[in-house]
This record gives sequence, structure tokens and C-alpha cells, in this order.
Amino acid sequence: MAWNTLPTYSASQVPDAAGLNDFIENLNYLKLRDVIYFGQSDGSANFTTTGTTFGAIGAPFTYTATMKAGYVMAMFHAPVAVCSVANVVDFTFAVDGTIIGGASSGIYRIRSSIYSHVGMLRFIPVAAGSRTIDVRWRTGAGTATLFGVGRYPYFYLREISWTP
Amino acid sequence: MPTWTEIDAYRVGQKIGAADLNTFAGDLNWLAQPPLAYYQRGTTDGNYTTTAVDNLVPIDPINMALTITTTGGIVIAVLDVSLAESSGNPFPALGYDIDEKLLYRYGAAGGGRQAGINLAAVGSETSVVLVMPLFGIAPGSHKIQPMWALDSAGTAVIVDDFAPFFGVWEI
Repeated sequence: MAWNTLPTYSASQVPDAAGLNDFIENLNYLKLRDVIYFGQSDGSANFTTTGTTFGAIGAPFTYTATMKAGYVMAMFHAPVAVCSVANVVDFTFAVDGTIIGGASSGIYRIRSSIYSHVGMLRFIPVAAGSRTIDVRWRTGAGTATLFGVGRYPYFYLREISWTP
Repeated sequence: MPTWTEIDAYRVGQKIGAADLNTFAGDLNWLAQPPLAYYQRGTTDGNYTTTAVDNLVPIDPINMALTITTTGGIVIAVLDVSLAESSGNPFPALGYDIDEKLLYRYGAAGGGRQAGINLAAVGSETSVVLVMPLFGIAPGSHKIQPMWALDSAGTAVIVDDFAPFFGVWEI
């Protein structure tokens, strides 16, 4: 679906069918949007990592699409995550592999071996072109587990602003 | 930034002209690029700290005091921070202030664990995302900023490593 840059009409100008259809396409685009992604675990498997540097959790928490220059709202919610030892598990979003936040922190931390909820939300600027946005994580030590079995963590993206 | 224009209902027999089409286009463009502002702190720009008890104070009255010009719709405010304590055992409350007049508070005043955010030392941060729809904002330019306070003596820290974030967006 395309977003059309609409002309500025002059006083005597009458739009033809194509011109009016551009308005309709833009209305439809605002309703449906290009970048709307909802990826949710199917509840069949957990996710684990022992990585101490940020790495992608993997499908379904990753999305690639051609985007317009603007802002995307990214959300990630996981009911339960835990670290096997008394250490931390850090989460963040990444755009084309570049994470938000520090290399040893990300933007969201759960700590110790306490079962914790993860909830992240950011407005993320994106440049025009093919972009990959994903959720990444790391552990300070031990094994981090993101529970998918019986729980349904999800990743949601929505285009919220672009230069029209 | 595009501007939003209220469009009156058309009467039977009324003809549509270029100005009308341009108004339609302007409103579509506004929907594409609604009022939105945010601040994301760099990971080396320094932590925030507070010792304020009960009465909410701004987290960052310079960078996080965002100005947004709205059409009177609902504004979504998002605060995404990771907190720790460097002294005491304080429990913070959070909130949003609009034009230094209208305050939305998350966490009761008067002691007793405020918003229930349990803090530990730096290195064991508690990450919090506070998403709140703000109602009752009149059309026009407004300053919106996040606030915080503690329930008891101590020091709370918002750690810069986690790129503290505050954003507002009219929906």
C-alpha cells in the first residue's frame, strides 16, 4: 500500500479521478498502515540464552520491512523471564543491529533469579528504506529463560509518524 | 508540522473547491504526522537522582520538559526508565505534570511504598515503563514533563546506561 504525497490545489484546479483516488488511498493507508506487526509466541517453547552480549531472541520477535522516514512505536511484553543465577537479564530493541541503551544494560533489566515480567515501549526513529527491528537480550551470567510455554510474549510495531 | 483543520459538514448543492481539497489534504497529513515529541538520554549523559519525599518534582526540567501543540485530543505519555537506590530504602512514585498546573500521579503520597516499585542498588536496576493517557488537555501548546518523589528518606537514581526515555504523542 502506498502513501501519496498530495499536491496543493490551485484555485481553478479540479481533481480528476486519479487525484481523488490518491485521497482515498491515503485514508486507507492511515487505517491499515504499512508497518504494523504483531509477533507472538505460540506458547509451545521457551527461549534461552547464555550470551553476555546482546543477541536477537529470534522469531517471532523480529520484523523486516521497507519503512518511510519517521517513527515507529515498538512494544515488547513477556509475562515471565528469569535468570538461572543471581544476576541480570537485559532487554532492548535494535534497528538494523544497533541496540538502544548501553552494551551491558540495554533498556530493560530484570534481576537476580526472581521471576519477572518484561514490558518495553519506545518511539524509535527510522530512516527510509529496508529496516529490521528486533528484540535483543543478554544475561550477566548463567542462563536466561524467556517463558513461551503457556505464556505468550509478544512484539508489536506500529508506524506512528512520518513526513507526509 | 501539519495543522489540523475542523471541516464543516457540506450542504446540499455546495461545491467543493481547491481550498477544500487542500484542507482535506492538510488533515490527512496531520494524521500522518501527529504531534509527537520525545527525549532519549544518552548512555553517558549522567544519571538522575532525587531525595524528594512525597511532593513530586521534575525528573529533568530541561530535557524532559517537552512542548507539544495539540488539537485537544488524548495525549499518550510514556516514561521508560531503570531505577536504583543509592541510599535508604525508598519507594518512588511517578507522575506527569502538564503546564505546571495539572498533575497525574502514579503512586499514593504519604509514605508506604508509593507505586510499589522496589529498588535495589545500581547494577540491579528496576525497569519501569509508565504509559498513561492524559485527558483534558485543551487545544494549544503545552509543556508536559515526568515527575518523581520518594516515600521516605533516601536517594533514588535513574541510570543513564538504560537510555532513559520520555515521549508524548497525541492520538
